Parts: sequence; structure tokens; C-alpha cells
Amino acid sequence: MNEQPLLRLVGVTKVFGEGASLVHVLDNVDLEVTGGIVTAIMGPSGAGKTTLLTIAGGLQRPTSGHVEVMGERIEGLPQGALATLRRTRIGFVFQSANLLEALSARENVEYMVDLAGDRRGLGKERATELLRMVGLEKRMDARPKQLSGGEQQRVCVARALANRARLILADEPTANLDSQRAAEIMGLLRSLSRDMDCGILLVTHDVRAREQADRAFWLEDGHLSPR
Amino acid sequence: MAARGRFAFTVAGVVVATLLLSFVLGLYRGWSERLTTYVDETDTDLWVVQKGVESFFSPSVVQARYVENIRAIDGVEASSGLSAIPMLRLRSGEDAYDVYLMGFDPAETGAAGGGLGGPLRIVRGSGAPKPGEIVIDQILARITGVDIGDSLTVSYLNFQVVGISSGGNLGVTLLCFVARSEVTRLLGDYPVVSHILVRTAPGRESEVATAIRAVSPILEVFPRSEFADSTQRVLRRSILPILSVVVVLVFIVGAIVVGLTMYTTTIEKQREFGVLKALGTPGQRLVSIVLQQSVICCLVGFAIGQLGLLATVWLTQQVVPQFVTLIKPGDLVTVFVLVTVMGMAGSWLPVQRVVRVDPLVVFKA
Repeated sequence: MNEQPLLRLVGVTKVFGEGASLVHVLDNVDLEVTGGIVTAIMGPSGAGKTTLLTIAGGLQRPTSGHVEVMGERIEGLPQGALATLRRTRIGFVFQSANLLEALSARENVEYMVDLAGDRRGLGKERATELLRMVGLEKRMDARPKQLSGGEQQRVCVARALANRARLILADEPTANLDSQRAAEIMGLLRSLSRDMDCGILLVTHDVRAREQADRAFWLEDGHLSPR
Repeated sequence: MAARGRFAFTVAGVVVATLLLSFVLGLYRGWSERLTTYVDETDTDLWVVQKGVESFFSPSVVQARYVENIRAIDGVEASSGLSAIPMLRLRSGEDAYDVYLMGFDPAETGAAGGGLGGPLRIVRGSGAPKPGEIVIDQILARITGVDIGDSLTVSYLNFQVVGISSGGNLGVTLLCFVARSEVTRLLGDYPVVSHILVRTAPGRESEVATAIRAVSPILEVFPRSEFADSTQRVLRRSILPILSVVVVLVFIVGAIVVGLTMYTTTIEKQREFGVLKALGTPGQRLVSIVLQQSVICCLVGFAIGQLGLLATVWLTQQVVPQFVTLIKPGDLVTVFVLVTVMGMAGSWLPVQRVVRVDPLVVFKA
């Protein structure tokens, strides 16, 4: 397959602290994420999984190495350009949904459509379509507090797709869910990767999540190894 | 509920600031305009005062003989001396009030009681007091409970109330009118007046003013409207610095209230702002969210503050009848602008906080 990777990490190193307290959280990590594939990163707590995810999403800069998103190197981009990248090319799914409390499910998704720069005034339609896709057609006007954890996570997935991103970065998306809801979310992410050719990079502790992934890596002591 | 409480607290802060700002401005307008009502509405064309005097309330002493000298000038229809003494103690029973005693010559009074130096309007009784008689303003009558036929004392002179007038509430003082001979008596029979009021033939004000200045170099002549304007300017000069301090203090307190509550909100919503940042929301949009919230608080606070202002003015006037406020649409616009700027100033700290929110906060469970 010659398709350009949606995400490419080359020799990425991230160091925290200095002197005796210097910690190599990531040490010369290489990784590629392509469309239609769910990639899981596993590892013990504090291994640097989330750090890897945030570097991939342009929320942190690597100490060395480079990061490409759809062929564009991003590690040296200014904050404004990184924000543009996130709102137009990357979808985020957070561990605790992180929906905006004051907005309904539909408005949360619509906000992202609008943020991505949809000037056609179709935000509401697109949000409705996405919420229907994740099975929340009857809960669109509910506020986050009125939704269950699984429903909130579905809204979060819909929001991640609102900007038509093909690269989805998911941080422990099933950590707060019971096994049934976790399986539903993983099934949803998996079908999205297949149906919409999305490349999904998820970091997780959840071994059930690993079972749904197409590939998995283990991150420990800063090194990433296939699992 | 916490969010509603904070919103209510912020709005309450803006309400108080709006109320105080509007009230202070209303007071200032009331004073500066009502204080010159008497000068503005007296049926005279020229006010003659001692050289150097710029306001109705400034001490002025002019020899009484100039009244006759001026009356003799061609083009003068009427000329009358006015002896005004500020801050005299009026006693009615156990109560005492400071009044502005106006000694005028009832013989020179014009039609309808609105004469040269007399009361502007008579509500009841007579507008032409004889020696031993006094005309008091209706507000004073209301405060003291004194009515026609009652006796009272001003300084060491006893008077019987013969008339109730209106238009003599100048906010900081109330006008009482007696015969000029009574004031002369108070002054130890010195033949002086404080002001000379002159009515001229139509269109001859300027010519007469020049002739009056020729009578004596110590006389200053003002057309009526100029004297009113000059009096207002003097008042503004003395009142404005004080009011400015009050306005600045209210502004600062309002901005602090808005700022602190908005800051608290921002801290509590830090995670949501982090989410917005992580999703790629541009910095200026985050800033505009904070500013919008601030503006909404200010709008709601302003609207409630104006309703509160109406209630406060009404209530104050019930308790203190001589209280003078004047609310002008232009001043409401000024208050609105001030309150909006206050909200913006109060948002400065929250905005700084929002700009510095680390989006990585959303990755913490």
C-alpha cells in the first residue's frame, strides 16, 4: 500500500526535567498511522502514552524528531497553525468526553462543525447526521449531564468526526465505561475506521480495546514495540 | 446552580455600579441644572453683580444707590435690588433648616408673582411679603409642616408665613422670600444689595449693559442666560472633581466585582476552555467568549440597574423632598458606555487566564 500515512512519527524523543531528574518519556519513537486501521498504544501508567498522543496532535512539541500529519511536518509550526491543524484535520476523543456542559449534544457537535470553518450554515444538519450515525438520534437535545457515560462518549466521537478529520486521536476512550459500553465505543471506532477510512490512534489500558485494534504497540521506558 | 449564583453575583455587581453611576450623574445634572433654575426663570434681562463675581451663589455686595442710578438709564424698564443671604438658620419649633433668604422689593414684582427677585411661582397665599412676613418654598413647607399663618424664625427675626411658592428648591438649598428691608435690617441697615435685576426694553440689553458698566467700574453685568451658564460652570468646577472621584471609585469597584466573578468562572471552567483549545479554537475566539459573557452580565445589570435607579430616585424623594436628580437620556448612554468599559476592564484578568490555559489539562482524568 503506497498511501501516505495520516500520521508519521520519526525518531520522536520527549524529555522532561533536567540533570539528575531527567526522564526520557519517549525515546526515539517511530510510528505510522494509516487510513482504515485502528492502532492501539498500550503500556503501564506514566509510560508516556498520552504524551505520545498529544505530540501527535500538536499539543506538545517533541524534544527531538519530527511529526508529520498528512505529509506536513508540524513540530515547528506556531501555536496558531497548530490550532488550525487540530480544528481542521484531527479529531479528538477524550477519556472523559469533555463535552461543553452548557450545550446540548447536537450543539457540542455543531460547535466543532462551525469551528472547522463550515460556512454553509449546515452545522446543524451535519451534527444531526453524525449523532444519528453514532446512534444518538433520540438524545440530540440532551445536555451532557442528562447523558450516560457511553452516550457522552458517542457524542465525543461524533464531535471528533465533525471536521471531517481522517486522523482520530483517542485517549483512553473506554476507561470510564462498563464493559458493554466500552465494547460499543470500540465497535463504533472500528467501524468508523473501516467505513470512513479513518486512521485511529488510541492509547489505552484496556485489554478489550486491544482486541478490537488492528495493530497494537507496547510503550515502556520510552520505547515502542509491537505487541 | 453555582454558575447561576455567580452570574447573579456578577449582575448584582453591575447593578450596583450602574445604580451608583446613574445616581451620581443624575445628582450632578440635578444640581447643576436645578441650582440655576431661579436665575434662568426670573423675569429679568440682566443680572448686575459685584465685579469678579461669576455665580449666583458667590458673595456679591453692591451699593443700593446703584439701583436708582440704573433705573435712570435709557432703555431700562425696571430695576430692583435683591439681597440674598445664604445659609441662614430657619427655625420652626424644635426643627432648624438652612435656607437662602431672598430680600426683594415686592413693589417691583411683575405680574403673576414672578417679579424681579421674588418667588418664581406662588402655589398658595401671597407672593408679596410685607415686613414681618415670609414666603417659603413648598418643599420647605412639606418638610417642616409649616403652612400659611404659622410663625417661624430666620436668624433672629420672626416672620409669619403668608405664601407658599414653588421653583425655589435648588437642591442644596431652599429659597425663602422676604421684603428687602428685612434683610437690610439683618445686615445692620447697611445700604447694600447682593444683586440688581434689570428688565430692559426689547432688544436693548446690550446697550443697557454697556451703560450700567459705565455707572461704576465695580459692577459686572450678565445677560440672564449667561449668568445661569456662568453659575453652572462655577458649580461644575466645584462639584465635578468630587463626582469624578466617586465615578472612578464606583468604576473600579464594579470592574473588580465583574473581574473577580468572571475570574472565578474562568478558573472553574478551565477544563472547558482547555477542551476548546485542544479542539483548535483560536485564541481570539476564546477571548471573545469571555468578553461576550461579560457584556451579557453588563447588559442585564444595566437594565436592572436602571429600574433600580427609578425606584431609588422615587424613594429618596419621598424621604428627602428637596433631593434633586435629573436623569437625561444622554447620561444613560454615558453610564451604559462606562458599564460596558467596566465589564471589559474586569475581563482583562480572566482573559489573561484563558489565554494561558494549558490544553493538556483535558488529558488528565
